[in-house]
Order: sequence, then structure tokens, then C-alpha cells
Amino acid sequence: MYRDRPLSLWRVAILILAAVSIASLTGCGRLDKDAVSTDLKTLQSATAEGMLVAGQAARSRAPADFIEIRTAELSKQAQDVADSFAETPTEHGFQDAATRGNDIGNRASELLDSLHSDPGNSDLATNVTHELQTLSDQASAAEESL
Amino acid sequence: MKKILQIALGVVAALGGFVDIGELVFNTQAGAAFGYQLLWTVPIGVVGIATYAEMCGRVATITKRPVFDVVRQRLGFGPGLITLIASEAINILTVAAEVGGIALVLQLYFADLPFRVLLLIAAVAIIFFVWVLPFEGIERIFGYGGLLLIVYIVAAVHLHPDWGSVAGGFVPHWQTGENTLIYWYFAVGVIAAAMVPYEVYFYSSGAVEEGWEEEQGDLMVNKANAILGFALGGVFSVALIIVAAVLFHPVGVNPEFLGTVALGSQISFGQTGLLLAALGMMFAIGGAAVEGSFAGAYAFAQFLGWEWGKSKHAKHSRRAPGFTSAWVLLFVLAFLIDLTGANPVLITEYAVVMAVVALPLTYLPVLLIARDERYMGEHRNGRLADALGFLYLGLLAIVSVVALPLLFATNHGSG
Repeated sequence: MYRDRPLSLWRVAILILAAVSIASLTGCGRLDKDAVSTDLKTLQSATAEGMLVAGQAARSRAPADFIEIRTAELSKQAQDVADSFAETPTEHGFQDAATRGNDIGNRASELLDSLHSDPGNSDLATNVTHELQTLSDQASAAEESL
Repeated sequence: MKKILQIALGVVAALGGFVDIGELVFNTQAGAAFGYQLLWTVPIGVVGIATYAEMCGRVATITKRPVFDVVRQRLGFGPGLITLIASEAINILTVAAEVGGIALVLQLYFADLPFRVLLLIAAVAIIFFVWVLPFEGIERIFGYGGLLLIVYIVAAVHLHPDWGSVAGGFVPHWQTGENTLIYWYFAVGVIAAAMVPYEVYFYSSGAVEEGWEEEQGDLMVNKANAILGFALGGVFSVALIIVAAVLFHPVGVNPEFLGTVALGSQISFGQTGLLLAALGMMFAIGGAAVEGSFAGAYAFAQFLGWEWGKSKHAKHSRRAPGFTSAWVLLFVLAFLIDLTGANPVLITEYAVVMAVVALPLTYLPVLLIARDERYMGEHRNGRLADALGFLYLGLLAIVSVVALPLLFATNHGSG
């Protein structure tokens, strides 16, 4: 009776190991549709919020510290998504969206970094606002096309 | 006249103290993700916390026993210990989220300082104020300061929302479609953020600290504080949802930073709006940090039968060293958690959702004592309090089962 107990534990351990091995061989570690969609939504959110922040900077309605910290956080968020798209392969059929996401993330991060470095420049902020608006629309379109 | 003033001050303090980082995060995220659709969850949370806070205050006034004393007595040592461990884990997470939240607010104006320095400033400042201020001072200063968040109520009106859609949001409805799980995650989050257990631990222990007496009319003070204070506090939640629904929902912003909450007020009123929001958040989050740390220390001391309290008597006679050490230790542990670099907003989400799991264990013994004539005499629950108590206990039981699966299934609301 008691000898069964260690055997059952071994069986459970082997089953878990097998499940993990199968998962790792059958697509885990690749971005599936849900992961690509989530990343694109994050990009769309970061670019949209960046657009709002840049809009405030363009009208000189917010202190420089506020613009600096918000652009830094949003830039990092956009760059993280871009890196994820660049470094992680996708499942079949989603590579184009990932490539698009990588481009959008990199460009958004670049724009936000430029505003972070010069938060008091209204002309720059106006340009960043318009370009982030376009990037936000593109991220949204890429997500909807999945 | 004096009693009316006392009631008014108490209501104002409860109103200002209602909002914490959980309210700020969950309400803003709910409004940004679903517009006005989740407004109906606010009154559900507010009625729940008002119902149980009133019971806790009444039990404390009549029996002179705060919540954790009641929990241990009604549940016994074993289940009481489990409740204690769960509560302390949640309290530490809550205080970590709040201290991190204060540092995030400071960062809006001091972007050049390293975040760890801001964390240190936040933790040291809170410990200093709690150390030097009397209990009433802590309650009033943080409560009144939190009232600056009225800027969100003004902003909600100023932004001219579609009031018909706002009214429609108060009608509970079932969301369908691909975002159903996320919808229910935020529904649970908004309700849970309003009903976190530390609020009742602090509230009932505060009633004992302030020496509420039935003969002095304090049952009326309790009822007014619990019902009016929390109900009016709910207006803040509604305002946060409306501001997010108007500004963030149409452009698809999913707020993952406390700075996004501040942005709502900043867009509405420029630099003044940002300053009022930042100060209001600092007081509200600071107050919640104090409440969370005290709740943890109260629970610990009351469970172990130690002397406890921040009242003049306890402080002057140095009769509560264990209690004092406990709240200081909670701040230190919270600070260490924040130092690991964990995102305070994410800690908040985990703290609120995990608190849900402990809610039935906290509220069941309160309900049992509040309706027990042997303890409460003529002040036992009436029919309405009983009905609401059982209704919410059932609701919390369901919510406590689904909360964690929803947290993981929705990747904490990110989809």
C-alpha cells in the first residue's frame, strides 16, 4: 500500500517533464496570435499615450520633469515590444505583423527619446505628436489585421 | 453642534481616505478599457464596504473589540492563524504598492533623482510622520489632503461626458465578445479595490483607539462615517472612470503607469491640474500606506494578545512596543520589496486580487458577531444589515474563487 506512494510521485514528475518537453518542441517560445495581438495593443497604447503627452508638451502645459518621466517610461515600453518582436520567432502567418510591430516600436521609442532629451521644444513636440498618431493608427491596423 | 462637527470631520476624513493606489489604478484602467461600462461595479463595492465598515465600527463600539480580535474568537486559533498569515502577506504587498506609489508620484516632479532615492524618501517621510503625529492627526491630515483628488470630479464634469452613457454604465450588464474575461477581471478588481480588508481593520481599531462610546452617540458617528464617507468616496471612483473613459478609451490607451492617472487631470487643467492630482495622490496613497501598515500591526498584536495602539495613552506609557515594531517592520519589508525593482502598479494589482481571496475569512466573523444578540444586545444587526451582510458574503465567496484564475487568464488585464 505505502510502496505505491513514491511510484505515483515519480509518475507525476515524469508526466510533468514530458508535458514540458512536448510544449517546448511544439511552438512554446514562439509568439502565437494572442501574443502578437497583445504586443501590438501595448504598442498602440504606448504610442497613443505618447501622443497625448507630446500634445501637452507642444502647448507647454506640463512641467519638463513630467514630460521627461512619461516619455522615458513610454519609450521603454515601446522598445521592449520592438525587441520582443525582433528576438522571438512567431508562429506561421504572423511574421509580417511582427516585423511591422518591430518597426513601429523602434520608431516610437526613437521619437519619445528625442522629446525626453528636449522636453521644452514645442516644435519638436508638435512633430512627435503627429508622427505618434500615425504610428498608433498603424499599430491598431496591424492588430486588427490578425 | 460639537457632535455634528465631529461627524462632518469624520466623514471628510473617510471620504479623503477612501482612495488608494488600487482605486486609482483599477478605476482608471476600467474606464480606459471599457468606457463607462463598468460604472455599475462602483456602487456594489461602496455598499459592500459601507455595510461591513458600519458593522465593524458598531461591534468595536459595543464590545470594545476590533476586527481581528473577533476573527480569532469566532474562527478559533487555526483558521485565525491562516487569516492572520494571509492578511499580513496582503498588508505587506499593499504597503509596498503604496510606498512605491508615493515614489512614483514624486518622480513626476523629480525625474532626475534615481527611483531608489525617491523610494527611500517616501518610506522615511511616512515613518517620520506616523511616529510624530497622534492618531487623530494622521487620520485627518492624510484624509483631508486626499480631498485634493476632487480635481478628478471637477475634471469629469469639465470634460463634458455623454451623461446618458454615464447613466447607462450604472446598469449592471453582461459583457460578451473577445474581451469578456478582461471585463470581469476589472469588474472584480474595482469591487475588490473598494473592499480591501485593511480598511476595516484600520477602521474598527481606530474606533477603539478613539474610545467610541455608545452613550456619547458614537454609533451615529460610526453610521455617518461608514455610509456617507464611503459613499462620497465612491464618487472619486466614478470620476476616475469617467475621466479615463473620455480621454483614454477613444484613443486606446491602456494605463500601466501611475503617471497616466495624473495625465487625466493634467490634460484637463494643465500644470495646476497636475499639481493638485499629484498632491492628492500623495496624501491618499500615503494615508493608505499608513492604514495598511497599522492594519498589519493591529492584526498581529491583537492576534497575539499584545498591547496595541497609537493613542496618546499607549504612546506616552510606552505600552505598545510590539505594535510599534510591527508597523515599522512592515514599512521596512515593503521598502525591501520595492527595492527589488518590482513595478508598484503590478504589485497593486496582485495585492488587490489576492485580498479578495481573504475577504470572506475577514467578513464572516464580523457578520456573525454583529448579528449575535449575546454580544451586541439591542444593537445587533437589523434586517437590512443582515440581508446586505449575507448577500455580500455570497458575492465575495464567488469573487474569491474567480479572482485568481481571472488574474492569470487575462495576464492581469493586459489580454
